[in-house]
Formats: sequence, C-alpha cells, structure tokens
Amino acid sequence: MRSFAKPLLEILAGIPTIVYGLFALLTVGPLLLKLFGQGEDGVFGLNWMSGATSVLTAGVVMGIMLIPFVSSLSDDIINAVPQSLRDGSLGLGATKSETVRQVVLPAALPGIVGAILLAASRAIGETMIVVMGAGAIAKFSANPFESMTTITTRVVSQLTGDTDFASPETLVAFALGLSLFVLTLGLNVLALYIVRKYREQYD
Amino acid sequence: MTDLSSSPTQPAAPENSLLTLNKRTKARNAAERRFKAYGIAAISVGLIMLLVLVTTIVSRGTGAFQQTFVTLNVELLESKLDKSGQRNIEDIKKVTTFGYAPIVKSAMKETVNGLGLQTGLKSKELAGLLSKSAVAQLRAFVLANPEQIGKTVEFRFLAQSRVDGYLKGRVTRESIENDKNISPEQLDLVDALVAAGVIEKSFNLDFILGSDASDQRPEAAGMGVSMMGSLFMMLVVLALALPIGVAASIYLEEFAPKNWMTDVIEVNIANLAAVPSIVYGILGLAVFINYRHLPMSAPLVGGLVLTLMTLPTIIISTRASLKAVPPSIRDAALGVGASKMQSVFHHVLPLAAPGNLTGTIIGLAQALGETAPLLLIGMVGFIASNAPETLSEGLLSPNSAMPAQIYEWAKRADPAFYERAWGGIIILLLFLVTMNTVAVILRRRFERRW
Amino acid sequence: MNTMNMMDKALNTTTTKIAARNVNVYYGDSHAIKDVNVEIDANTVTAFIGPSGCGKSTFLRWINRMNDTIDICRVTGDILLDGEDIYDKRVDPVQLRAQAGLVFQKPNPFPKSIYDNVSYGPRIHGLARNKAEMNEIVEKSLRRAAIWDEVKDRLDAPGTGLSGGQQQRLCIARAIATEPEVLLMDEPCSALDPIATAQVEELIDELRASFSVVIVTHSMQQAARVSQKTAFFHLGNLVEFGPTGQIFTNPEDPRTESYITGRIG
Repeated sequence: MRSFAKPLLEILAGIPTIVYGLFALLTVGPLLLKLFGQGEDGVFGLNWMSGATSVLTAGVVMGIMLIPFVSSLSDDIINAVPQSLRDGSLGLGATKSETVRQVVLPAALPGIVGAILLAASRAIGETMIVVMGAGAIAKFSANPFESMTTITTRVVSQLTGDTDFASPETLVAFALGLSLFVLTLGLNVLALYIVRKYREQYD
Repeated sequence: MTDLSSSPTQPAAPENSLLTLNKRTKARNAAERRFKAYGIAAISVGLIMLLVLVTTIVSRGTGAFQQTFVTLNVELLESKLDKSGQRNIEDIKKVTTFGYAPIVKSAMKETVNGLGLQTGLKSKELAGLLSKSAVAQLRAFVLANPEQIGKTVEFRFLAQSRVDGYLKGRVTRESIENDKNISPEQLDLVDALVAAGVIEKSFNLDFILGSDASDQRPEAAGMGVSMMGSLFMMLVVLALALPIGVAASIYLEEFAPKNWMTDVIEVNIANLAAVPSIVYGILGLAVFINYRHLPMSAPLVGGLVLTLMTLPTIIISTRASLKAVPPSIRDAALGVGASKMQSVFHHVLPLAAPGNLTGTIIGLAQALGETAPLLLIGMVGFIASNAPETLSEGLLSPNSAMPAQIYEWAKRADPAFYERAWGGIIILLLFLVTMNTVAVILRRRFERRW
Repeated sequence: MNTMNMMDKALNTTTTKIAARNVNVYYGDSHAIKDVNVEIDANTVTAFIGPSGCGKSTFLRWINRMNDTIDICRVTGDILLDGEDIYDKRVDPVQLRAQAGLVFQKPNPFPKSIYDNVSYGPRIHGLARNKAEMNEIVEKSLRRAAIWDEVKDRLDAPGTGLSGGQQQRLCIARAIATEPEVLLMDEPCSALDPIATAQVEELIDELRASFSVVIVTHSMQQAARVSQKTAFFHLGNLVEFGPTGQIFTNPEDPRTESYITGRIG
C-alpha cells in the first residue's frame, strides 16, 4: 500500500502548475460562478460572483495543488518518528489511534508545521494558478468572490511582452519581485530551520 | 499435560477477564474506528479531487487528438495556376493563396452537386466549411508537385473549427445563433456530407507534430514546434545543470571543509530550491536579456533560467545520494592507497549514480512543466510556426515551450483553443508522468540500504 | 516432555500465570518457533536464554501480541494468561497489553516530560479518576522502578534527557504504572553500561514481589543472577526449562550444556 501510494503522491506533487491553472480557468471558475453567481440562472440563485476569476477560485485550486505536497512532506516527517516509540506505546496497551495522536503526532508536530510553512511559501510564490484563476484587478477587499491580484500576477502583467527596462512599470515589477523573494526566503528559512531542528532530534 | 490444563488459576474475576471487552475498551475501540474513518475520509476527498482532475483533463482533452477532415477531389486548373503552361516554378509561385480560392470553391461546389444535395448556400459559404488553411495547403502541394497541374487530385482538408466543434458536440445549433462564422444552413449541409462520408473525423497527427496557428484557425494549431522548444531547453538544462550540479555536490560533500561558509552555502541551496520560479524568471530577464542582450524568447535563455531553477534540486538530491554511501567504502579505497579523487570517482560516484540520475530526471521534469519564468522571458504571445532545422536555430530563434503554448491557447478567445489546451496538457503530463515513473523505478531498483 | 512432567510435579505449588501449549510460529515459510510448551509462574522471574535468532524475543512478543501487525506471521497452539487464551477472537490486544506490559531492548521514552511518560499508560487505560490519583500512581511507579529519588525534582523535564540507565528504569516505571500482571522484558540491559545494568537487575528482583517477570537475555550471568527459572531456546526449540540453579549446574540436555559452557551460540 505504502510502496504504491508514496510514489503516486510524489508524481502528483510533480504535476506542473499550468495544469492546475487551466483547471482553475476552465473548470473550477465556471463551476463556482454557477454555484455562487449568475443571479436567477445560478444553482442557488445567488449573485455573489460577477466573473469566473476570483480569489476563491485560485484558493480552491491552490488547496488541491498543495494536498500531495503537504502529505508527501508530512509523510516523510511522520515516518522519521522512530518505530521504537510506536512500539513503546502499543506495548503499553495504547490503541493505534491513541499512539498516533498522543505519541507520533506530538513528536512530528514541529516538522509538520515546517511543511505547512513551506506550503505557504509555495502558495505565495505560485504564479500560474493566480494568473489564470484570480483575475488581475488591483483592489483591496475582504470578499473572496471578487477577483483580486497578487504579487506574482502583477509581475507577470508588467513584464510580459516587450519590456522597456527603463520604464517605471518595469522597475516596479522588479521591486515586487524583490519583495516576493524576501518574503518567501524568510518563510523558507524559518520552515527549513524547524524541519532541520526536528530531524536532529532523532538522528 | 492433562493434569496441568486443569491446574491453572481459577477463572479470573469477570470484570478482569480478557475474553469480555470492558466498557472502556469498547469506547476506545469506537474512538479508534472514528479516527480511522477521518483518515479514510481525507484520503477519499483527495482521491475524488484527483479523479475530477483526471477525468476533466481526459474528457476535455482527447478531442484535440481527433480532427474533422473534408475529403475533396480538386481539379488543379491550368488556366488558373499556370497560365503560361511552362510549368515554370517561378511563374507558379506568383499565384498567391488568393488565386487558389476559386479552385477550392468550385471543388466544394462540385462535390455537393455530385452527391445530388440541394442547398441554398453560396459557393463562398460552401468553402467556408473548410479551414482557412485549405488554400495554403493546396498551394504548398502545387508548388511541391507542379507536374500535377491540370489533373484532378484527392485532398483531405481540415474542416473549420465550428464544423469540427459541431461534430464533437462542442458547437450546437443553439450556441451559433449569433455566430457569423457559421449558419444553421451550413450545419444542415454538414449533416448531409457526414452521411455521404465526405466529412469525417480521424486521428489528428498534426496536433502532435504541427505548429501553432493564428487566432482564426484553431483547427490547425498543434504542439509540435513548442515541443521542439521544450526539447532544446531541456538540452540546455541537461548540459549545464548536470555537470555543475554534480561537481558542486562532490565538492561540498567530499572535499569542502565543514565550517560556517559551507553551512551558509548549504542553507542557501535548500532555500533556493523553494524560491518561487517567477523570481528566476525576473532574474533571467534582468541578467540574460537586459544585461547580456541574449535574444528574447529563445530556448537558450529559457534553458538558462530553468537551469538556475533546477540546480538546487539536483545538488540536493546528488548530495543526499553521496551522503548515503557509507564512509567505510571511502576508507577502504583510501586504505589501499587511492587518492581522495580516485576514491570519489572510482567508488563513491558510481554508487551514488542512481540517486543522482533520479534527482536529475525529477529536476528535468520540474523544469519541463514550469511556465511562469517563461512568460517573463517572452516565450508566449507569438506564433511559433516553423520547426527549427539546426541546433543553433533551435537554441536562438524565438520559440515557445509546451506549458507556455498551453497558456497561450488558454488565453485566446475562441473556445476551440481550450480543447487544444487540454489536449496539450495530456501530452505534457504523458511526458512528465513517464519521466517521474522512470525516476521512481530507478530509485526502487537501485535503492540500497547500507 | 519428560523434563516437563518432572517439573510440573516440582512446581505445582505455585500459581501458573502464563501457559504456552504447543506453540508454533511461522514467518511466511520459515518455522520460527517449534512446538513450545512453557509455564510461567506468578511472582517469579523467568529468563529466556539462547543464541541470537533462537526465537526467544519472538516468543516474548507473542505473549504481548506485538506481532499481530505483521501479516505473514502465523501462530498455532495456545498461549493462556490466567487460563484464558490470548489468541481467542474475543480478546482485544489492547486490553491484553494492559495486563502484560512490555519493556524494550533499547530505552524508548516518549519525547515528553518524565511525568507524562509515566502517566501515559494510566491515562489511556483510565486508571486515575483525578489529578491527585494520577500523581500518586506516578510517584508509586517511579518509586517501584527505583528512580524516584533521581527524578522527583524534575518531573517536567523531558524523559529523553535522562541517562541510558535512567531512561530504561523510566520505561520500566512506565510499564508498571498500568499495574500489569506480567512484565515482559526484551533484553532490557543490552543497551546499558555495567553500572546501569546492575541497577536494573536489582530492580527486577524487587519487582518479583508484585509481578510475574519474563526476561529475555543474552547474558547467562544475568539469567543466573536475576531469575528463578530459566528456559533455554535453540533454533526455535525450547530445549530445556527448569529452575535456574539446575539449568546452570546440572543441565539435562547436551545442547544446554554446550551453550552454557560456551561451545555453541
């Protein structure tokens, strides 16, 4: 089971983001629009969404994209918890779920937090899904049904096509790129620090 | 033994018996089942998502591998194509695609009349069932075979995308109410021609091998040229990332002193592997195009950017496989008088090669599917129409790449291109899944527990 | 069989805690334990000795049903705990393990505080109704494991921070906190230095008052020091079983003699 599921997870984690982007643009977006938009014609008669591109669309698809990533990383981490701890717990008469919840998970928690941070950093830097799914309207809103923009979308829209390297737009895009780099770098340093700290505990 | 079986202790007190589950154990077992159910639920949700994704891709994408063709007998009139009758290739070249249009029109008309079909359509509307590429296809044939002028030749023309969509169910009579590209009368004729076997669907090799086409001709668009673009990028990545990555890992793992410098480098490499790919795109744009003035949109630049992106992955996996070779092997080699370098190249590296290969394949697969940096260095937004013929042309002339081509199609207004995009995804995923599977199998086969 | 019958007569004054009848264990095709019959008495230390791979650890794990999870593993015959077959379909291994605690070869404290390590078993089995009772159980267990004085000031410190011998005694405390009837020890001293070993051995002797102890060991000296009865396993067979003194001074089977004199194993 495991020897089959693990490579499958890894292969799934290797699906390029353009696939998910297309999925967001052509499948999930229109589906969400049908559910939460279109007024009378929609499934619930709601009119919350005005177009298929929205933060929700991008978010849902990104969530799907990160499932194999997070589970593969967490699996590695949970697997690194020594078998002797599991045996110890089972030998005392704990059930499997008690062992998992009270011994394995607490032991693996720091590593899992690290994995989630890595996933967050990937989500922030994700480009294709937001370019294709979240729209490009720069606005500040708490409504997930509206389309909004992200750092990566701005960079793409400023720098695609013929680029004039002296223009302010280009410079803005470079600045955005720098902030993105610093932001994700910070998250990665933190996540990797936690994961490494965790690994040392059992080496 | 018989006397013994009766001698053990009296049956234990009922509440202490192992044979009856006590209340607490029952409750705990129920909790166990609930916990298992949560896990199974989570897996099911994940599997359902996967299933939806796969079925979406397959159901929407397989259409791209089928295409509607119209088979016509075309009389290549000498009076139109070669007025002089000299079969002088220069003269024939002077006739533009515009000059071929009447020939196609009349061929269409004759086919319809020949089948005895009644239609009120004008000949222009009749020819409108064909792709706009039909005249170009005809002209290319004539230029290649001038001796055929004056004869009647059978051709398979692409049908225009609405007709194709109609046969695939994408276009319906309701959906074309406001469509000026096709009318209900034309669809009536299509039905009749399908019945007569003139119009038929068949396998579309051009989608796999052909080049992209303009906005007007989704039926002619193919992945072939962008596949070449991807191939040249992968060559660049392989040629640069593998030697640099392996050399860096060998130095870091075998020769470098363990001090804060190598620590910093190690942490940085791990970080770089997780930096968003678009940042590499910005870097490539600034360094290779703005500063070094390499040509925009060239697979060489794309390859360089992807090399930067893949290097950390390759270094990390190669180092891991080097680390997995036990020190006793090195000691054994050094013990019989091998130099440090000999011990690495004769013993450690061959043992680490499968891991290194796996890492390289996974890195290449990652690079093959990457889109974001390619957008920035301009590998989208134009039509890569000709397949490159030489290596330098392949590296330096503007081209697209598979994921960039898919993105390009997804952006276009005509929904006929969406089918192409899904079809492109299928091709891309076939490549990636093959590469990843090979990597997994390699690792499985050569994995060694020391 | 002859030996067995003689011993039965000699020992039927004490209560039998665990009785194994014709136990055979198979791992896939290999026959790991062959037709073992053994009686383990209450309030006695029973040692299993024998060369590596002779099946003594495997047998110990079967008493606790720790091998249940291995698919290719099969067992035939009966293992009775207090006269009840522990491989009966109605027996929940969880409930069984509460009565037969297992101490492992390598100390494996949980990465939690010392207090949480000891209170883990009583908590999952619901043995304490409130905090005060739990404190009492923890203290009692640590005292019985002869480690209380060393750790009473730092019950909140992580159990992984203790020395090897302390960790192993912590694991013993953890195992006896659930008040098992049988304490199974799988080479509990093999990862410890001589001083820590001495402490644990002393402890085992004290534990005999409350539990029936089964200890698997590589060291014949250890078996001679701590046990009252000894079973010698060889190639999956139970070769000889009897009072420790008799096994070491006057073994009946030539194989036992060769082993204890150092000619095999």
